[in-house]
Amino acid sequence: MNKVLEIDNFTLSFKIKDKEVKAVNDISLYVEKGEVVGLVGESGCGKSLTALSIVNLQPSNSKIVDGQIEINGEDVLSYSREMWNDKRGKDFSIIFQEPMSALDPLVKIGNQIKESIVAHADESINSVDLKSRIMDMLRAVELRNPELVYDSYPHQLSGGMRQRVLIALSLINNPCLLVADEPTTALDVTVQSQILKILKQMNEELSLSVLFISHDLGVVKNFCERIYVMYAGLIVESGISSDLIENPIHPYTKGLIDSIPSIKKRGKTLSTIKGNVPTLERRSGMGCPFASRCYLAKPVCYVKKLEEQRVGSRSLFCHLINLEEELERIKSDAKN
Amino acid sequence: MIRYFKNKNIVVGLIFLSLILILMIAGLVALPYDPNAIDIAHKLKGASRAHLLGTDHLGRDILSRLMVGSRISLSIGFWVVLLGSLIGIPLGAVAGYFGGKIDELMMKIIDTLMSFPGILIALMLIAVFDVSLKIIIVALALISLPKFARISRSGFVKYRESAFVLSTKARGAGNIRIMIHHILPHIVPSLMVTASLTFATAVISEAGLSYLGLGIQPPTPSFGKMVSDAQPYIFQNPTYVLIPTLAITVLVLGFNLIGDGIQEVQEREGQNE
Repeated sequence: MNKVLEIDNFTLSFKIKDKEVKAVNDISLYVEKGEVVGLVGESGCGKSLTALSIVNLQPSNSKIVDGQIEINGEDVLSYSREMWNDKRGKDFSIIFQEPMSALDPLVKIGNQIKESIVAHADESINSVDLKSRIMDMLRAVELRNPELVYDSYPHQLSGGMRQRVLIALSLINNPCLLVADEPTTALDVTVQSQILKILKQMNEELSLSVLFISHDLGVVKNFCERIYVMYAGLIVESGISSDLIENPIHPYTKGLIDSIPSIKKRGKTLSTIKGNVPTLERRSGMGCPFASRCYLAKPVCYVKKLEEQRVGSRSLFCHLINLEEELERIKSDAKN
Repeated sequence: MIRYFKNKNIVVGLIFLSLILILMIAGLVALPYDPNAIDIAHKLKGASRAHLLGTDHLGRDILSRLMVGSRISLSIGFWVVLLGSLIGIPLGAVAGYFGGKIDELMMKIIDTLMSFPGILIALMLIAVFDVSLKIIIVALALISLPKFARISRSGFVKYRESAFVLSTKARGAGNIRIMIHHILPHIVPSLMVTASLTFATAVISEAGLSYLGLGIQPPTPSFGKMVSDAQPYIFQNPTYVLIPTLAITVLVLGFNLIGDGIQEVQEREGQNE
């Protein structure tokens, strides 16, 4: 086992009206070398906060209460500011949701990529090498006219092209870990699949590890090897992708999977999970955060602290369902 | 860049400005007369072939004095803008980018500075240090500094949390690099507006101070000084008072038009985005 990213019992809180509210609550996850791992959940679940925390760009009014983040075995939370500036964009990178606004509108694409290389280079690189390296990268992300893109301003490119440029930008220094925070959400479906293809390709060719964050289980299930399902700052269920999608156990995961539109469900009303993710102020911090929306909920759910149940690669946080029994049941169902 | 030159205000402003610049450059190349040479016999004469714009109450050539005066007015404007922006912009940048306690402290100081009437600060400094061109420039720069600081602060506040700054940070760029390379270029247009308006204000303020006798000291000419000298003779030689007044108007209007023009172009761009 060679873990590139390992997050242990990480808790991030905000202070709202003199009350500490945990936006990310005691989460643990890991990404192995060359692995693509999905982190799924509705908006407001703390997915992006987790992503930002990994690169130490969490909002300045938040506080890391507990836990550890290790990248390549190094405890990154103890990094100094200079260390962060040195490591970010070199050992690990992040791509953001909004390709439209994540590039500086006043700097040409070529120069923005150049900046990334020069900032992390140990020695000076001559401009010919620099340009050929950038061109290779632009070609690798399948930009059709790299020469033109190199000399363009961001507003001259389409959303899909910009996301490709951003991928090129974050991978130019050969990082071992890429955190992709909903990289395809703002793009249309055809472009989305192209971007996913490029990411997959990079993952295979460069043995890049990817933590892929999305609210769309439909996208994640084909793309990721393992999936973590997050709800209200808590990871509620995790497991190997195919296993988790076919046999969801947690009521929240079931709800998410039922709400993916598909051909089979044509003509029927698409099922949804009632209600919304509770806002930070309304989270009690006790019991199961999903209880108020759960069809199984019993009084115990609101008060008792959740414990992790783990069987093999599968893990579950629920008071009412016994993971072991449930897996047995699924196995016997499959036999019949 | 081209869109700036398509704006009517900017074009007219630049024409006005170049009129004064031509006057100044012509003065540097060839002055018709010594601006301080007194010739009482020919005092308060109207325009003639010998004196294109006539003579003043001591028989000095008005055109020559205007040429030298433009040098003073322009250099005061230039130095005030330079000093004001060199100190004000970094102050505002640091306050806006880092926020928190630094921001609060700096803005308190800036607000205090702003709460004094500008002319009062100038009068105070002149009273303490005696009149000189340097003190006038320092006083006017001190008055203009809060404007630059505020504009720069608001720009840095606006952009410090923007997506591209975050993503540049995520690629390992340090604070200084982000401030200079990724935020400052975005607020240059607003700073240019402030600069051109400040230039105009500085010229006016100098004229005002000189008019009160607290600015440029005789015999050195400046636009404001010339107006105040000419006032008693307004009926004997109307062109005498009209010409420096017109020069001030052209210069100030020029800068104001340029400032307005830049703002207009920016607003139109903002709508198109």
